[in-house]
Amino acid sequence: MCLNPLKATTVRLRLQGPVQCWLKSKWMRVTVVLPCSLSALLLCLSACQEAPEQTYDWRLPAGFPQPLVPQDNPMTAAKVDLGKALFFSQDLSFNQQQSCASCHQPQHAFSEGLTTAIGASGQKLRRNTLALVNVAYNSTLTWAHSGLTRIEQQILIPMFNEDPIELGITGHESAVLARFQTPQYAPLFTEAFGDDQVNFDRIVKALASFVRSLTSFNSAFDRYAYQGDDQALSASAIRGMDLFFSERLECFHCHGGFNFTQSSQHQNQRLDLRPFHNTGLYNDDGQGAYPQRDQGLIEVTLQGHDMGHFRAPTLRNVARTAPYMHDGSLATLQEVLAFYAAGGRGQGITSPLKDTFIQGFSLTVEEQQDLLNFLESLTDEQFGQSFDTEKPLNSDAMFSAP
Amino acid sequence: MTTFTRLTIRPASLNKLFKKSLILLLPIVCVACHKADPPVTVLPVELWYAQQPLTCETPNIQQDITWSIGQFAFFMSQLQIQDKQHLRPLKLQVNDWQTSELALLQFFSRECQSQVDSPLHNSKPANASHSGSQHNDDQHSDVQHTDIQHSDVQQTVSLRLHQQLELAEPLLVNEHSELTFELGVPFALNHLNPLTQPSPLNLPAMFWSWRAGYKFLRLDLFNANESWVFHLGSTGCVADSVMRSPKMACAEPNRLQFSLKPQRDGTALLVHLDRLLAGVKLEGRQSCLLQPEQQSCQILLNNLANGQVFEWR
Repeated sequence: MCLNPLKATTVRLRLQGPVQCWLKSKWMRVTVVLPCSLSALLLCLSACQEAPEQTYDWRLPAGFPQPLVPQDNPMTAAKVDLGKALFFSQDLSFNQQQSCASCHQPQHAFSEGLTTAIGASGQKLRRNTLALVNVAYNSTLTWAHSGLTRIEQQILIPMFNEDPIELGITGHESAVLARFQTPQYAPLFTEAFGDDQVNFDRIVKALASFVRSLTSFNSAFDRYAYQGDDQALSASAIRGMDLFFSERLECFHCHGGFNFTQSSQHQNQRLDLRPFHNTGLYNDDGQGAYPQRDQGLIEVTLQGHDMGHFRAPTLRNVARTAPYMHDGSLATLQEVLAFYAAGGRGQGITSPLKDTFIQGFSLTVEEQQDLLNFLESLTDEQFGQSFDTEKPLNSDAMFSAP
Repeated sequence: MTTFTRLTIRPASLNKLFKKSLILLLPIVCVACHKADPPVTVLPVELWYAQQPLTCETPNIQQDITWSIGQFAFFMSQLQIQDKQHLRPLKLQVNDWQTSELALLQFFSRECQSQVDSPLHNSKPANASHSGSQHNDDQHSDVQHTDIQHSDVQQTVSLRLHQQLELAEPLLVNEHSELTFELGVPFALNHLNPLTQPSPLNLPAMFWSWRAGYKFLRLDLFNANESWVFHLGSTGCVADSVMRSPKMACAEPNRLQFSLKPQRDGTALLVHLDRLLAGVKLEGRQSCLLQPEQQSCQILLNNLANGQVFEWR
């Protein structure tokens, strides 16, 4: 009833146990409908008032805009702290074998070195683990979904998905929740939400807050471009940057903007253009078809022209996030450059659905090195580093090593 | 006596007076919350091809073959209105698509073909072709659906089309009126840090680099086999790198001025795409990204300058 009937045969993920009960119960009406009505009333009454100031300190460099944050999950340091504890906890997986950080590893800018991810039960996923870099600015999430716009939505996928199993909580909801009803976690929940009640809504909100807090704007490129430090980049990296932003290479058409992806929104930019692109990675039938195992945005929109369309991910920290592409099929940045220089791969080069801007180009050996040096300059050396060495918040026992 | 009669207020009159007062007061009460907004005046901007308006439902143009419009967008700035005596600036309302002095008009993005509403409205479950597939790590329609129940609207602002100029003050048109504007972004705004610019000047899809500035006009066409694009902007801009602003005007600013008289009542601005593309052979090799070897650029620039691409109707 509260689910879309059309999905029944195609979408495997089901919410069960406490989550489903909560959604269908009178508590949903009490916790969602009633507050919504009250909120609407308050909104009407307070229409003349200014919105309250956002108090969370994003620690952004001067001039960088704050991300948009859902009104029902405002950022607080306490939620970020709780989310961090949960993110690194293997107790979040049904068999206590994996945490979020098992795949989203800090040293890889919260991605991992595998071609495609492997879930807690050992099941192989079909896509490469995306880095968690400035995700708060993404207008859509995951590799190819035009409707997933909130981190709170996305996080439910690894938590509850049944096919493939990632954290595998579905069917083990009570057991998983019980692991967090401990004296160690009680103060974290209380600090974040006012009392020590543990539920999945709070867990998701805390995880989302932590993921939003993972901002990265302190690369050599940033120091050059936004801090005005002429010495921050080598002459080679500057030549590579000029190539990157040239009409000859066209890289920036998809990897444009301050976050090196056009799929970005922030407090001063809410226009939603949702760009997805076919890069000519595959063309199985001469008509542009991608392999049946993963065809990108078309699976969501059912529109033929979305075949093989994937979201351009940020290039910030890209040197740490190998392998590349949605299926991890390019191992190194050199391979990625060769791929774009060729204008695609194999039959993909002649795909009718390939993006306009992927026409191929030729680079001298020096230019290739310049471009690599530029991509290296997008690495924020501090990003994720503190997570390797930082002591757990309250107790070592609370955390599991990623 | 007469005077007395006039001053007599009977219960029926009182009732009527009360009702009238209410009617008069109601709008005042209703607008009490609002700051004194100027009256809204809207000038629709319509995209036409071969004397027919193009819509989101039919974003196709017919040359030798059918081409679809992937994206068509352009900046208008330096808007002025000349009436009998005066030339005065035409200020715009400030919103996501406009600052007070420039507007980004956008007619189609590729998604326009499937929907123009909020992305959440497009949350149809996937996916017929993958029924029974082992993979649904990105397909989460039920969760999405439930999330809408208590979704905020902050992130679901969906503005993919902007096909009108929203003016800050009423535009009075008569036979002496003349509308002038520039196709482009003024130099003073063209090479600034896009991060600190207001929307729509911080939209990456229209930004080249600090050195080159914005794409003043972007037209991306595609058909079943290939794509064709025209991106207009300043060229010959000199700076230390792409991330540094030029100190002096670019060698080829490529800002085009237009001066239009109303052909009818001045209530719409038309963009004739067929006139822009006149004489241009649409094929990928003839795209125009303002590279020196691209011959189509000269035709396109000439069409913009002399081809009556814009019409104030």
